[in-house]
Amino acid sequence: MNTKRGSLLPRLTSHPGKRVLPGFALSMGVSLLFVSLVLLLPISGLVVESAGMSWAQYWAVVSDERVVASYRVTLWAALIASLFNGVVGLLLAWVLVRYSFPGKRVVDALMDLPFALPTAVAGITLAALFAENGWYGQWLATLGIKVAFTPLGIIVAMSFTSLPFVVRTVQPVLEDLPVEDEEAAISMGASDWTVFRRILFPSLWPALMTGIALSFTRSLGEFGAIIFIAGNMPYVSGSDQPDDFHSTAGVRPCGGQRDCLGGAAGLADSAVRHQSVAGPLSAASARTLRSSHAAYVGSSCR
Amino acid sequence: MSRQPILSSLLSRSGATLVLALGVSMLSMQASARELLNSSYDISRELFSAYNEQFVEHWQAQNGEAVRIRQSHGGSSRQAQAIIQGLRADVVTYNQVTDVDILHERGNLIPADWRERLPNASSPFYSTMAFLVRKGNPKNIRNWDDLVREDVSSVLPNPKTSGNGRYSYLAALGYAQKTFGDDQSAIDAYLRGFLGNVAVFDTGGRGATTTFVERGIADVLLTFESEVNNIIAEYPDAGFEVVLPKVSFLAEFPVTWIDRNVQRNGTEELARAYLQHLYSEQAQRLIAGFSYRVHDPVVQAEFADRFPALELLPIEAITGDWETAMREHFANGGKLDQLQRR
Amino acid sequence: MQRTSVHRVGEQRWVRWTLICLALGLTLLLLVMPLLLIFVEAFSGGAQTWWANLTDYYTLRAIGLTLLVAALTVPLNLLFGVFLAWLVTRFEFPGRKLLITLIDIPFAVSPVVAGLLYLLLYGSNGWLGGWLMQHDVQLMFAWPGIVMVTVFVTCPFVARELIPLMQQQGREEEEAAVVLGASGWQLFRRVTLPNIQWALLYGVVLTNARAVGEFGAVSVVSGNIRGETNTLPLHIELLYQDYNAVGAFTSASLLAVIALVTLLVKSFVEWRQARQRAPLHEQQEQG
Repeated sequence: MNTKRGSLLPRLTSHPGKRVLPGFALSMGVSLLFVSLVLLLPISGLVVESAGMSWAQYWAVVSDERVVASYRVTLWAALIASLFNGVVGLLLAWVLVRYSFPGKRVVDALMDLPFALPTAVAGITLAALFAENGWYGQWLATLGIKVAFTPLGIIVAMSFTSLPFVVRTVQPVLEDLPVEDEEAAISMGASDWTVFRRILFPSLWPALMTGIALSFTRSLGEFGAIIFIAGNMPYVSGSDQPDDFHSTAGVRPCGGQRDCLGGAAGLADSAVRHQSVAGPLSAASARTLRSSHAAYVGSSCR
Repeated sequence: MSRQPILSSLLSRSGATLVLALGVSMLSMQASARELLNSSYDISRELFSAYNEQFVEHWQAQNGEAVRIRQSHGGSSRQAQAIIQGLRADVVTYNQVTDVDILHERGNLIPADWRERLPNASSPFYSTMAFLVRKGNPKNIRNWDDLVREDVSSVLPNPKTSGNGRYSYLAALGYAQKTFGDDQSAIDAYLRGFLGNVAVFDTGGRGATTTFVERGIADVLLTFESEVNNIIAEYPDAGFEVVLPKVSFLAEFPVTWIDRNVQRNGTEELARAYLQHLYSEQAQRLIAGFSYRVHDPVVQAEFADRFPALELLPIEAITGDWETAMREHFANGGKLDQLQRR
Repeated sequence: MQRTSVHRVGEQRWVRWTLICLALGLTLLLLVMPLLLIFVEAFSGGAQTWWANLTDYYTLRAIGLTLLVAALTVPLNLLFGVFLAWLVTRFEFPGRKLLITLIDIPFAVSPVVAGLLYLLLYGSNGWLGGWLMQHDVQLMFAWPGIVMVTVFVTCPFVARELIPLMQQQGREEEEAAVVLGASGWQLFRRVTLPNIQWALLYGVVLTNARAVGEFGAVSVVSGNIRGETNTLPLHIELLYQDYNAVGAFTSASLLAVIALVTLLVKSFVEWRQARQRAPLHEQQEQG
C-alpha cells in the first residue's frame, strides 16, 4: 500500500550492502537453520538415494508393472477430477463474483471447506455418502452407478479435496476483469454468449488453466481422503495395485513384500517412486502458485 | 487508526501454554508404572484389551507390581517394519510367522531359533480360514470350489499386506493341490479364478470386514474363523452364517519377545511372563472365548462344539516352508502377480 | 460495480437465477451435505453417546496428542515464517530467490513421502538412527517424530502469507521508523506487526488447521500405539475400521468444528483486510 504513494523519504537502501533495517543476521540465522534442518536434510535423503541408484535400478523401481498400473489410474482420475473441477469451479467463481444473493458470504466461505477439513474426515464422509446404503449411494445404485471401491470413488475424493483451487484461482481474475471491454462489446450488439466466448473467456483461461493444474497436482498427492472410499484392486480396468495403492500412497510402505521390507532401500524405493510422478508437477505448480495473484495459498497434498 | 496487538496471538499463546502443560503432564503420567509395548496385528484389539486386564491382575497378585501394557495395532507386516525402523516394542503377537522372521533376518532383533523358546512353536493359539456368507447362504457356498463360480464374488484382505489374506490364498492353494494333485495348470487355473472373483482386496482384516458388512459388497468374506464369529456376534441382525470348509490352512499366531528391546527397556522377565501367561488355562479360556483355537486340552474339551474338527494343512504340506511361499507366490513377480495379470 | 445503461454478460434475470440456483445446488451437494453427514452420524446415537464417545479414554488421548502437536508446530512455524518473510522482503542478498523457492519444498513432496524421508533419516536404520539409538533417544514412532513431520508439512503457510504482502508493502515505513530511532523490537511491534497482523493470523489459522488434520505423513511415522501415538485423524481411521462409525464421526465432528472455525476466521480476516484497505484507497483517490 505504500508503494503506490510517491515516497517522500530519501532512498536509504540504494547502496547495496548498506542495510538500514535491523535483524539481518538474526533472521538469516534462524531461516537458514530451520530450512536446513527441517527441509533440506530430509530432502537430501531423497536426492542421495535417487542419485545412488543406478539407472537400471531406478527404471526398475519406477516402471514396475503394478506401479505403472497405479500411475495410470491416478493420472486418469486426477485428470477427470480436475477437469470436472474446472467446469464447476468456473461456475461457482462466476456466480460468487458476479451476482448477489442471500447467503452469498456463507457460500463464499464454504468454498474453502475442503482445504480446512482434514482429509481423514473428508475420507470417511465421502465413503459414507457414496456407500451403497449412503445418502447419495442409494440413489446412484438405482441408476446402476457404483462409486465406492471404484475409480469413480477416487475421482470423487480427488474432486472434493481440490475444488477450492479452481474457485480461488479464478475468482480474483474475474473480479479484475475490465468492465469497459465487456460493455463496449455488448453495446456494439454482440450476444452475451459471444462476448463471453471471445472477450471474457480468453482472459479467464490462464487462471482457469492454473487452477486446473493445481487441482490436478493436488489430486496426485491426495491420500487421506482416498483410502477410505476406494479399495485396492489389482489390474482391473486400470484400477490400483494392492499395496502401493495408488502411486502417492505406498503408505503401508511396500506392504508385505520381503524384498521391500526393512532398511533404507525399501523406504527409498517408495519415496523415489512417488516423487517421480508427483514431484515435478508439484514443484512446477508451486512456482505457478506463487507467481499467480493469490497470496491465498492452498495446502497441496494431505 | 489505533494499532492493537493481535488478540489471537495472545489467546493462542496462553492456549498453547495450557495445552503444552496438559500434554507434558499426560506424557509424564506414564513414567510411573513399568510398561510393556505389545505390537500386534489388526484384529486383535479386543482380545488383547481383555487379556491385558487379566495379565495385569495376575502379575499384580503374583508380584505385587502394577504394570501397564501398551498396544500397537496394524497390519502385521507394517508393524514388523515399524519395529525394524525403531519402534521399541517389547513383545510381538502377530498372525504371520514370516513377519516375526524378518525381525531376525532384517533387523537382527531376535535370535534365529526364536520359535523354540515357547511351546507349540511359539504359537499359543491358532485359527483357520472360514467363509462368512449372507443370510440363508443364497449362493450356496460350501467349499473352495464354489469360490471360482461365475456368480460368486468374494472379499479378502490383500495377501501382499496381510497375513490374513495370505492364509486364505494358501488355503485355496492347499485345496487346489489336494484336488488337482500334480496338475499345475489346473491349479493355476483354479487360483486365477479364485483371485479373479475377488471384488476387493482390502489392506487389512478389518478393512475387508467393513467392506463386506458395512458396504454390502460381495457374497462371501474370507477371513479368520475367529474374526468370523466375532462379526456374527457384532451384527446379530444381519443373519450372517459361517461356513467351514473341510480342508483349510493352519494359521499359527506366533508370539515372541524382542531381545534387543527388552534388554534396553529392562523388561525381559516381564515380557517372558506376559507371553508365557498366554499358555495358562485361564488365558486359554479367554482366548477360546474370542474364537481362537487353543492347545490346552482342558479348554479344548470345554469348547469342543464350537470348534469342529477340520483338516488343517500346515505350510509344510503346501509349499514346504514360508521362505518358498514368500518367494514363489507373494514376492514381486511371484504367482500372485502373475495370476492376476489380464 | 457502476450502473450503466449497458448491461454486462449474464445479467438477464433468467440467466442469473439459473446460474445461481445451479451454483447453490452444487454447493449443497458437494459441500453442505458432507458437512451435515458428519454431524448427523456423530449424533445418531444421541447426545449422550456423542459425549461418551468424545470422552472415551483413547479419544481423549488422541485429542491431547493432537493438541500437543499443534501447540508445538504453530509457534515454531510462526517464528520461522516471520523471520523468513522479514529476511527475504527487507533485505537483498545472493540466494534470496533460492530461499524463497526452497520454502515450497513441502508442496513438492507428497506427505507420505515426507514421512518416509523422515524415517529414512531418523529411523533406526537411518543416517542418524544409529546415533539416536546410542543415546537412547526415540524420535520416530513417538510424539517428537509426529511433531517433526507436521512441522515439515506446515512450514510454508505463514511465510507464504506474509511474503507477498510484505513485499507489496515495501520498506519505507520501517526505514522511516529506523531513522526516527526505533529499535528492532519496537520497529517490529509497532510498525510491521500492525500491517501484517491479519495475514499473520490467517497463516496461523491455516497452519493450525493443517497441523491438526495431517494424516498421510503422520501415519507413516506414528507407530500406532493406542493412546500414545495416535493423533485424532489416525484415531478416526482406527475407529472407522473397528466398525465404530459413530465413534469415528464423533471425533470427526470435532475436527469439522475446527474447520468451520477456520473458515470463520478467514472470512473475518478478509473483512478486516478489506476495511483496512478502504481508507487507504480513499486517501489515494484524493492524493
